[in-house]
Amino acid sequence: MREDMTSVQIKNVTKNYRLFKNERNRFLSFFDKNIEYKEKKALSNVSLKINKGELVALFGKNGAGKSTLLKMITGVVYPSEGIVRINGRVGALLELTAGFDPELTGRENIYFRGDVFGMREEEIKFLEDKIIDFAEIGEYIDQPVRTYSSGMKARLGFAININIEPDILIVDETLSVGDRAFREKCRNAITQKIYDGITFIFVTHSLSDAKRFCKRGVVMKNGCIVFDGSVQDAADFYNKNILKQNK
Amino acid sequence: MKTLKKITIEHIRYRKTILKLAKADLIKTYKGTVLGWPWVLVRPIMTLGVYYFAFSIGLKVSSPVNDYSFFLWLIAGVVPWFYMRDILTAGASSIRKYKFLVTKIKYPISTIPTFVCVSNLIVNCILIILVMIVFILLGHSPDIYWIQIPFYILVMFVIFSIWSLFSGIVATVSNDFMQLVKSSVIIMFWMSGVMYDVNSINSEIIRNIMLINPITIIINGFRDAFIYKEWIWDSPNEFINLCVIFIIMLFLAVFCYKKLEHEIVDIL
Repeated sequence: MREDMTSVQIKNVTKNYRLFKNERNRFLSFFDKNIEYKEKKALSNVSLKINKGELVALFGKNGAGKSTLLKMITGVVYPSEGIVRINGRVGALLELTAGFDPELTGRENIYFRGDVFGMREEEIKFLEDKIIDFAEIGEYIDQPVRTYSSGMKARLGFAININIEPDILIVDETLSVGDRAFREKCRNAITQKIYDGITFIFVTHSLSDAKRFCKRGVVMKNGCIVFDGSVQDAADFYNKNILKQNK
Repeated sequence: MKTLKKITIEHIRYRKTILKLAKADLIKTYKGTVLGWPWVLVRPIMTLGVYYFAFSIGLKVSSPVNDYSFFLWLIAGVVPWFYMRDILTAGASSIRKYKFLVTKIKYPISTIPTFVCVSNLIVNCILIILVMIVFILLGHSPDIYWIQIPFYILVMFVIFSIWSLFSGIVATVSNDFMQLVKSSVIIMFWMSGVMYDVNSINSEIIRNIMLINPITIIINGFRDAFIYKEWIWDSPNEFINLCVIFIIMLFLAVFCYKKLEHEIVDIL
């Protein structure tokens, strides 16, 4: 029972990126262990447990390791050390392009994504209209995605990810795109999902957004979690200790 | 071994997705053309037309092989070669091409080369059926040896899927490998007995070396079925070579996958 309550379990996770001087060195490193490289620690010994239905805001400056952490939860990036355990389907909005095939049309991309998620044909058909309705991109839905503006891509990406019925929704600052009406629509959709009991992980620099959706706040710095508590305290901590520090 | 099991499980679990993505891959290439995906057939058919003109009308090569005209002998081997040629490069560039499946969404990397192979295989199956039709139209009706053709298609598909997995991964980490593959296609064309019969080479050493090449063995297999009317067990050496190559390549592919699976996303 207790096991089922956990949505995300991250245990002592470290992620190193190996940076080589050039491609030649990277190639040689497969044969020769002594090739020099710089090691960039994106995450060091991070542990985080998120329960089902928890609403978590993630704060941190650029390069603090937020994106790496989110990518790990999405299952795209693997840890160098430690364990990541995920329970449920993850809908992630990490970047605007959100894994679209630029040559395919918006509609085809909906099917493509559905396929990748391993959904059945009828399931996708059922969601298709809902997604198109939500994205509000009109006849562009049958145009190749490469012709989309970044706002349109974000709309479609958001529409897909919120409608595939994820158990865990990850949003990385995408709420700041689109016009005000659409942003409000996204916020309402998220509120609805939260009401339905989704696990929500949110990266933002807007403290008001964070406070609106989230109860728990996590602050990251240099690849470590430096604060974990209520969203209000986390926001204060972030303001006081991290933003001010560099001034 | 564990990795091999994992790859197999991923393929079984994503089998439907693989087919759908193969279809999408096929459609995508010719997106924006009026004719659409049938374009994929146009190029090989034109090539075959040129071969016909060059060898039957121009060069007048008229030494029939086992009652079959040179042109028929040629296409029996050239059509499978088209598949292998395309996969040599398409397989190696598959993971780079579908980069966004690796870096943006959770998707098993091992199945990316496979669906690229499937999409090419669909095209080649159509072409092989066309070859069969040409044989029938020219008065060579199907016989019992033709049942080997689906088998060789399967062998070709499996071997080149493994090649794609291996080369796809290595090409991701090393662009040099990609360039090497690209430039070796023309060498493979002339060294694999597409245009001549390797078995007719006089020097036994050269012949035996060339029969290590899986491309040669597969092309010979198709010709055995279409032209020479031989069974696969009539040339046991080639069969054993093929098995050995298969095992070595499988080992290499699994080894690379195991070593680099989690690292590819960091490199791309």
